Amino acid sequence: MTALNALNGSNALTVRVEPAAGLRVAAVTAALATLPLSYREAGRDAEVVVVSGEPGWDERVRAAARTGARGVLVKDPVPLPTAATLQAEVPDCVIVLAETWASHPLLRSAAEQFAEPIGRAHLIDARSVEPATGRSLRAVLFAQLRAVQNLGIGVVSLAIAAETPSSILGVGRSASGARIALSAARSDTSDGSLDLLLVGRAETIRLALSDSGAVRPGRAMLTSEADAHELPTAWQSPLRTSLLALHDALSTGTPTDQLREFTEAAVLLDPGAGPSAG
Amino acid sequence: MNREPLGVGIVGAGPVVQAIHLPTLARLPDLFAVRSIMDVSPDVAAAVSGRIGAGASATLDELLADERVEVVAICSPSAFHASQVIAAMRAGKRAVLCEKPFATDREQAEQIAEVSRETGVPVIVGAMHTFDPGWTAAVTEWESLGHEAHTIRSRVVLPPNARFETSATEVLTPRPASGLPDLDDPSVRAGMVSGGVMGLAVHDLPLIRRLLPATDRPATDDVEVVSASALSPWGYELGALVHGRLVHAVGALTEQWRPTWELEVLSDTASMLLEFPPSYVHAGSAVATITTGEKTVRFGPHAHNGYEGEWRALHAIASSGSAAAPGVETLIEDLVFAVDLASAAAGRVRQEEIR
Repeated sequence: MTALNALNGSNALTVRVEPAAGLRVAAVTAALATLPLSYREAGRDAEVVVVSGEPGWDERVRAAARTGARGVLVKDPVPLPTAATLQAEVPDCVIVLAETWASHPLLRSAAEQFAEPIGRAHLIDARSVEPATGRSLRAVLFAQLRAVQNLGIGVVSLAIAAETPSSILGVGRSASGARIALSAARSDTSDGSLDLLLVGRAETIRLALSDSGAVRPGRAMLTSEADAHELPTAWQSPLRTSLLALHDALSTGTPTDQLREFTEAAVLLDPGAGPSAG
Repeated sequence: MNREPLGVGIVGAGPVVQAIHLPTLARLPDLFAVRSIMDVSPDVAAAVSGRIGAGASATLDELLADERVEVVAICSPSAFHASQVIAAMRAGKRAVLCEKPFATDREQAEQIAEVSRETGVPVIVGAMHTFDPGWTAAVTEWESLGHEAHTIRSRVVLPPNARFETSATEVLTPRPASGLPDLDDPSVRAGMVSGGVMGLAVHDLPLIRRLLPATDRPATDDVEVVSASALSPWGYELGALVHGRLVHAVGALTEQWRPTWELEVLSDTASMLLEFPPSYVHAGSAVATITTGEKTVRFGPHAHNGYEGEWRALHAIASSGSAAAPGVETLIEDLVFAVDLASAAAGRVRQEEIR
């Protein structure tokens, strides 16, 4: 009976996409369409609610929880220094963040399989290019920082070293003392990807992560003294990965712990701060 | 070509000469013939010159007195470059090629420029990327389309030089092993970053300066280093605003095998990526791609690299006169740009909190 339920999708969670400015509903709908056994679109009483991560997203989460949602997916959340306390406010609701690069499936694989060399890196250099009509460059830097965190790197300091109308540079340190450099620049040639280079004494790791809506795979390569190891590609967008993570969390009862590091990142990269020493 | 090859004298016979210049010259037998090699170690000079049937000189004066030596390559340690370049010019040679950097400060560089004007002997600096045919083709296209760079990012991550040297030649004088630097010492950090700029980043700094808008040259009066860090076991991270434009560079020497040497240039509507091969491998030119909203155009790889390019340029200016030489003012400004960046970065890294 269970197998039949799975086949006809009756184990699927009901989901509602809450229309909002800044939320690309079509992209979410398209991702949900690739998960017909996990999700089934429903109306007001849905078990899962997808909300926009535009300012005020914490209130949207609270509102969804009040209507009985068991899970909320926050699409592209903006920095929120008070996010860490949100989960305690809605204890019966699982919150999962769907972030531009931080939710990329390759990042989790790299964090697991390259954990030791990541810990030995002395330099973490993140670079991306943002289209003219894209996010603010500080928002891009925040997304880079979140990707670095999701590699398992504890970031203890970060400061904006330079900021121009066309580019931005942030520098800091990891808990292990590695230099962290994050930079973003504007150009219409942007393909939305993030280029991450980690350099250690005897290894380098390079990751290319496609943007949140793309199914185009990323690439992760560890090079050591004698060989190289490339992780298998995953033809899955970060958004689909987040939807699956939410489904798994609700199915298994496993809590998520994204909000703590998200909050740390928001505090590190204070959106209101000006350039400081690097 | 009917002309006889130009006679070459080389000052210094270390790994760079053995692994780069001599194999390069071996590919240009119609243009050059090495006549004499001088080194502070007479044994090394004799051994290296003996491999190619050239003579060995015990002193610079002896090399310069050799009438068969028509052009001189200065490949000694940087501190000796200026005096040796000037000596070669005053000896009446036809042209001088000096390894980068050709001086240690503006004063030395201007002395070289003055002697060059006085003697009519042209000098070119061996910043090999400036002669790379992939770069020259791409930058010509970039400039013709009117793109204005607002961000330039450099990444250089290299395996040990020895890995490449031994593929280019059988090195007579391998580099001594060095221990791990003590990065808790601010002077060590400062020396590492300054050395990184003048020894590694310097290859690309003339390219970066050229990519800044022409109306803003010289760039040296508006350089603000905004970040600098020394990297273990050897490397640098450097951020600067140059006329309000962001330049970010990282360089590291590692034990891993994959070489990365990239220069990324961004404007509002176009981007250019240059991927250079490592210095020693004689693997041809950089590959450059210029991307706009409509298309991506690739330049290279060409068969020869920037080292061969600089020797070809030396032959051209020695054959046709100093009018074909790069402007000395450009060389001076390139040098001062590098020296200023290195100095400011060293100053900042002394204050760096590394914990």
